[in-house]
Amino acid sequence: MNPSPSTTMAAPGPATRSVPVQMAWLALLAAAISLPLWFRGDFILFMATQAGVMMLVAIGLNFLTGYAGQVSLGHGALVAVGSYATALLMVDAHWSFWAAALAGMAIATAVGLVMALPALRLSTWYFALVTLTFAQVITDLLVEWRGLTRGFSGIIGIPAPAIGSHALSPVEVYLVVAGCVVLAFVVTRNLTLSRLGRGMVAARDNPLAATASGVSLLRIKLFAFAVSAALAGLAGAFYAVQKTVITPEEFGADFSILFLLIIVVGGLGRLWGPVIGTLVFFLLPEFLGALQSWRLLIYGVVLLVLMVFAPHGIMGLSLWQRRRARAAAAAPADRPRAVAQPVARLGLVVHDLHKQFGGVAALQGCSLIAEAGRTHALVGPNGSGKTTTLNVISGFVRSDRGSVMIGSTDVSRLAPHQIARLGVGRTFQTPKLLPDMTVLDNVRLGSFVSEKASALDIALGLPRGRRDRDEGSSAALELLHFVGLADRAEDLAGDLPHGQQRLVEIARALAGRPSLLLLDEPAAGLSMDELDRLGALIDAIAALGTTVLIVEHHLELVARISRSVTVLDRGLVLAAGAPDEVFNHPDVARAYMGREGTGGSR
Amino acid sequence: MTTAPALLQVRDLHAGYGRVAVLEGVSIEVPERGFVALVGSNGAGKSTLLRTVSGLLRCKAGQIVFAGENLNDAAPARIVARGLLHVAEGRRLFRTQSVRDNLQLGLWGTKLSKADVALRFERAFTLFPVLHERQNARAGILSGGQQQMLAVAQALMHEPRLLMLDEPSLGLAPAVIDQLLDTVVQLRRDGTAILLVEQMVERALQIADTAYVMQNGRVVGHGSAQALRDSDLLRQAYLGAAAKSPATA
Repeated sequence: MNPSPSTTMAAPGPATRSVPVQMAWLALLAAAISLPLWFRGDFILFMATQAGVMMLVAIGLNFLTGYAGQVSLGHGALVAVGSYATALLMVDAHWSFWAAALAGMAIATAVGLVMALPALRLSTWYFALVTLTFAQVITDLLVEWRGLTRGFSGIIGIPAPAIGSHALSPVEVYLVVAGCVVLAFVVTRNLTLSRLGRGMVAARDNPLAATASGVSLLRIKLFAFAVSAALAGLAGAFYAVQKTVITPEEFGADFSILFLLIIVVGGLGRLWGPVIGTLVFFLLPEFLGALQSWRLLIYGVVLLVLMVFAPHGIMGLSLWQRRRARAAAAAPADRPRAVAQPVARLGLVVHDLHKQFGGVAALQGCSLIAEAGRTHALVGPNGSGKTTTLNVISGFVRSDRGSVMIGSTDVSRLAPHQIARLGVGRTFQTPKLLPDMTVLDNVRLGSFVSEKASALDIALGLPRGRRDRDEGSSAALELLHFVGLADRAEDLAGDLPHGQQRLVEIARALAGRPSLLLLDEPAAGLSMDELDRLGALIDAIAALGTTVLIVEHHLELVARISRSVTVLDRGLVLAAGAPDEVFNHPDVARAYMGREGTGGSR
Repeated sequence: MTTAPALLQVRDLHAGYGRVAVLEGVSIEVPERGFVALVGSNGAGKSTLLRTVSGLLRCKAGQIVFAGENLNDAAPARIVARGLLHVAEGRRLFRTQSVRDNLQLGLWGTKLSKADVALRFERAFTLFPVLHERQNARAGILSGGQQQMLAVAQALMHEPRLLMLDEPSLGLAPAVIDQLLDTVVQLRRDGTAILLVEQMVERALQIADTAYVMQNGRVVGHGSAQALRDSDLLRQAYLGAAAKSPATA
């Protein structure tokens, strides 16, 4: 890797597509919009509109399943809810389509959340089963609740959408649907490229890392579900007016599963996956009308071939992967802005912690005080309870007894993401990065809490959302510079050697601008030069007012950077005080350092 | 010094991940019963070299010969069966199995008498008494350092012809590191060849006979451990890496 002394800061951002690829997508878009001009046939227009409706659902489901990792087998039911709500409001209550469609979206979202709220606490596969059952219940309700839904006969005579007294023609409906698909695509794209998207992927791939960055797992999953349910509801509204007749049996289990197939075939977690998937899996077979009786067989063969040759779907094929842009290694000022702003000073007081794991007493009265803005070290033999102490402070483990005060807040009973939001960053003993995300995006996950743009700002690409995106990106790059890894910003985190992953994790913790930073063996596996850099880094962090609590076996480093040291042994405090006092304590030398004492490191 | 071919010969090895080349022509040798250290900054390719030799990563070009046999495209299981063991970074354990069962799995593929098995267990437990204390606990609930001890102990159970250790001291308390390195020296005296990757360079060079210095996927220096300790080469290898990525002043 050559250091590239580039002078320009390349626009940090995700999409660095080549011009031809961009042109190809634009051509596709133009073809879609101008479709009614080319084909006069009603059938083609009908199918194209239908495909647009399917795409809306698929885009939403891909958002939920591909990014947030929640498999829903009940999305067909949410389409049904949106469809019936719109149809009934239009036919029985004589609402305009636009108001009815909005209501349909809202009702589908609400019904979806009622289903998701309890189910999201379960693991992925239980969630899938619950949604499957839910879909069954909804279709049964549509049949049985005759007073409202008219049972098997369904709802007929759903009028076309109208603006004033002008009823939209099929071509105009098609264009509205196409516009909605483009809008849905842009919104989900903006969301997935934002802090919310990173939070979703982190919640899916590494819940610990997500929580430590302040992401509430339940809330982010609910958010993903709400977005996808709203899109299903909107699709349902169009479905109703396009078909003009809707009946319960259209929304059976196979309808739900079709969407799952579409996004899997298209490529899970790929923005274009649902679009391509719909074209291949829905539209293509419809045009193979002559082969109607062979359809299921063809489906099966296509799926098999894809599983073997394109396990990540069509959009997952390597020929679509954009070449990663070389990170702009422009040297920012020696002190990055992101780090240079002081943070609120918070001290840490841990009092008399007790924790029992099964038969093992991990902590039996651990107390320590870390002065605000200073570095405090926690050392001790393996298994003495150091990591457990960090886990209790950051909320990942609840103590049996004792208290933890950060600043003036008692955090003993708070959830880990709430503690993270108070300004507590941490690293883990084995780095918990998201291996399939770039290094830069991993660092940006850390600023999940500190970025301020709302979901709406982000979704619509409003100035506030864009500002967060650009500033977050350059701040993350500065932090990478700070830890000496700017030249690897665009590499996948999983490709980095172990030692560098640790530094990325520290940069991620710093991105949240923590008042209290908990480091779990940051020096393990670092080489000599990296150790020096780590020491300087921790000093610089403390100089900004951040309180640092470091668990570390590298005693030279501890002695150099820490103001005070606590030694744990079997869950009890063996000694505490200034480093030179503590390390000369006879008990400490015997229990911890062995015959060679402080020497021999490196 | 004998003229017999070395136990492990790696010649002009090229390997990497996907399109990223990590090793660009690495040649090293480990003699029978030898103790070789491999040092260099993070990202130099040390772990990648071990992973390629043990068959976890396919080599793109070059040759790996172990005990006279070409192991270029051999499956990892076959390589282990030949007596070449690799303790990878990152505590690869069977987390839901007990400590004892994990150690037992370290004996996979060996044919030992009951008495010998007992001896191996005794050695592991003498080296890491805490593993004895917690032999019936699930490996997953051990502390991080204890898991590292278990990972090392598991490899030591096998007593291979060549043991490759990737940063065995990671996360261990200073006193435990001393013991661990003593045990490695003892193993070597008993006939096992050692290839050690370790960030505690001073310590590694104290106990090894020879060492290779790696930088940016190449071997940039080789010699007796003693000579390397006194030379400037090491400092350069590390500072070279530091100069590559300017950071803190």
